Amino acid sequence: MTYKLYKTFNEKDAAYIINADGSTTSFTFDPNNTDYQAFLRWCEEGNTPEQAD
Amino acid sequence: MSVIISGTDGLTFNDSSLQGAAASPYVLKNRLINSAMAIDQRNAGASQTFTAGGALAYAVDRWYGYCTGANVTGQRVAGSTTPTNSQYRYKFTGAASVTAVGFGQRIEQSNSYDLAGSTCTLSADLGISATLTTVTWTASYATTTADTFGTLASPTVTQIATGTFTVSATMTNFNAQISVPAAATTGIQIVFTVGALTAGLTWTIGNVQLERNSTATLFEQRLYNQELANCQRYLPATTAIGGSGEQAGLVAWIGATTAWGIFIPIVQPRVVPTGLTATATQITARVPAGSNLVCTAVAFAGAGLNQFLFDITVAAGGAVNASGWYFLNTAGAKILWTGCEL
Repeated sequence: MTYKLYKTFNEKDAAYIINADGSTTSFTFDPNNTDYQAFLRWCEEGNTPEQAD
Repeated sequence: MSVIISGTDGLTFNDSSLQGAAASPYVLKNRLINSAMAIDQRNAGASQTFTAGGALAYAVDRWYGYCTGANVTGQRVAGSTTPTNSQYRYKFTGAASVTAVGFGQRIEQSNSYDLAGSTCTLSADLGISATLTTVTWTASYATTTADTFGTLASPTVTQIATGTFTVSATMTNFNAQISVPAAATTGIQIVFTVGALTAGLTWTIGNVQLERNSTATLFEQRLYNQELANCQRYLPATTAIGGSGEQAGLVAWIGATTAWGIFIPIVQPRVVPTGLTATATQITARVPAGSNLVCTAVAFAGAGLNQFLFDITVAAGGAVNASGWYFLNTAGAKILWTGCEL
């Protein structure tokens, strides 16, 4: 499991991840979004997201 | 015991419940939403894994869970008629090395401001399969900023009160009184926790109620449609209930392989969404007078309070500057807009 970074059309930083069930969770870097909070914890564990295309 | 009418205490019913003031003309005595666990837009009753030490994870609508020590699973399950009628409940299943499990809800300021300075009663149906006997409840309020409770790792809450219920394998209704301080005008959080929910143990919870009253009254049953609307303020979503082909929104094509999907929520969200969860292959984008194109990728693009956008990618066949629509092509398919929870 790994996150991949991307930019929204209005140039906001965002990331997405493919979940185990095949769904995609995507989110902007908003501190109140729990998916972003999970992303931060994943990074704190020493993981590195895949860079945007 | 008979019904007692007292000029001092109000009306005491034969189940010892007290109505100290005239009933509200608006039925909303329970400040918690989806306490009957009926609305499950994320999982539709399927099991969910909570990652040990991870961020809090939302489960059935409005309720979040977390755990430490080892992962646990949780899911909406069938309820029963005892101790109080409930079609559904929420059940955690433990695992070896689990040290704690939590289940909670954050009530926004708009729905709890008036509770400040009053006595409230928290009640819930609880049961644990074996060994564990204690469920701890904790009430807190957002310390400084309205509707801002922080993260599990860095909470920004002030504890109001805490207590324990001694629970058995038999589902039983428990209640406790909470003196909400005058300062608790910024939103209230209710959390239930248990300790080592180890392998083979289950913890079940349902019919949770927080009411402005000094005694527990019968659980407030809400109509499904009303509760769904309450939930969609925090999780806007569209779900294919009846089967495939349910039109969900419009598409603006910006290339042969790319488009924006447009979603207009039925209920205005609490705040602007900041994310999306969906399965791309369960969404089909339509080109006018053209083909149905199954999506290969979808991602959150942006949102306002009344319209949300997501990026659509297809293999080929899009028509630049054309508009069309998209639909969910599988029963049970869903698009969840995230970031509106507390």
